[in-house]
Amino acid sequence: MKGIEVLRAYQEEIIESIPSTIIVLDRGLVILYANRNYYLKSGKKEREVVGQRLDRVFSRALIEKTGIDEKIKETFNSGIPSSGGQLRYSGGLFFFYKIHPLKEIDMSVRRVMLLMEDITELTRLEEELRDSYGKLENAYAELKEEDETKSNFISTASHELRTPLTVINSYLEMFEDGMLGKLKETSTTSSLLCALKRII
Amino acid sequence: MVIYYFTSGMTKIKLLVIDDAPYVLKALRDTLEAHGYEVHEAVNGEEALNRYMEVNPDVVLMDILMPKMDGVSATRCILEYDPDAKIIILTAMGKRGLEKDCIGAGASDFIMKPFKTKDLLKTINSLVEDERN
Repeated sequence: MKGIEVLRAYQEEIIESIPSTIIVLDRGLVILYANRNYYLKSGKKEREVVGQRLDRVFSRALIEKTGIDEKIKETFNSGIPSSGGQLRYSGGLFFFYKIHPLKEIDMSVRRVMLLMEDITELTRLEEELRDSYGKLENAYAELKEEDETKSNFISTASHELRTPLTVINSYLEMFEDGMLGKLKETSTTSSLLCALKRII
Repeated sequence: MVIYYFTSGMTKIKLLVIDDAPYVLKALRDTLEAHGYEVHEAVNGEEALNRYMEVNPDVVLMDILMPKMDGVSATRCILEYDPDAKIIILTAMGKRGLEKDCIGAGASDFIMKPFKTKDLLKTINSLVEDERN
C-alpha cells in the first residue's frame, strides 16, 4: 500500500509540475480533478471546481461556441483523442486544448483528460505580426506606386526634352559640316553653338 | 564630315523613317538626304507595314512612342512580313529594359535620341554592308 501511495504521490507531483492546465472529467461531464495550474489560471477554488459539472465551471457561452462538451462525449464514445481546438476566455486569454481518453484495464473509457495550453502570448504575438505585416504590405504597395509614378514622370520628361534636342542637334551638325551654308561667326552664334553643345 | 555611300555602280541606300512628330521627320529627312540617302516616311506604326511593302527599304528607322501602333509592335509586324528587314529603333524614351524589349522584338539596333549623326550613319551603313555582302 505504501508503495502505491508513494507512486501516486510521485505521479501527482509530475502532473502538478506540468505547465499545462489539466482537468479530468467523467462521463457525466463532472470534474473529478484539476491541477494546480488550472486554479492559478482560473482564479477558482477547488470546491468550486471538483464535483461540479463542466457547464457550472466553464461559461455556457464558451461551451456553446466551442462545442467542447460534444467533443468530450465523442472522445468517451470513440476512445480516440480529439484533434483539439481553441478556447477564448474573457480577459483575452487563449487556450489550445486537447481531449485524451483515460483507458481502464478493460480498455473502457470512464474518464477523459482535458489538456489546455496557454497560447495567449503566442496569439498576441501572432496578431501583432499579422498587423505589422499588413502595414508593411500597404507601405510597400504605396512605395511601389510612388516609384512607378516617379519613373513614368522621369521617362516622359526625358522624352519631351530629348526629342527636340535631336532636331536641334541634327541641324547643328549640318551647320558645322557646312551643309546649310556658311554660318557668320559672331559672339552670338559662338555662344549659341556652345550652349547647344553643352545641352546635347 | 559628309558621308556618301554610293559610288558608280551602287544604288542609293533607301530608308524608311517612321515617327509621329513632323518636325523630327523633317530633321531626319533633311539630314539623311543631305548625306545622300533616299528617304521615305510614315507617321505611325499602322502605316509602317504598308509603306514598307510599297518602298522595300534597305533600312527602317523606327520611333517607339506613336499613336495607333507603337514601334515595338510595328517592328514585329514588319519582321513577320520580311524576316530579313533591318530595323533601327530611334527613341527618346529612357525606360528600363526597353532596349532588351526592342532587340527581343527583332530590331537590328537601338539608338537613343539625341544621337550624333555620324553614329546613325555608321549603323545604317554597317547594316547595309552586311546585307549586300
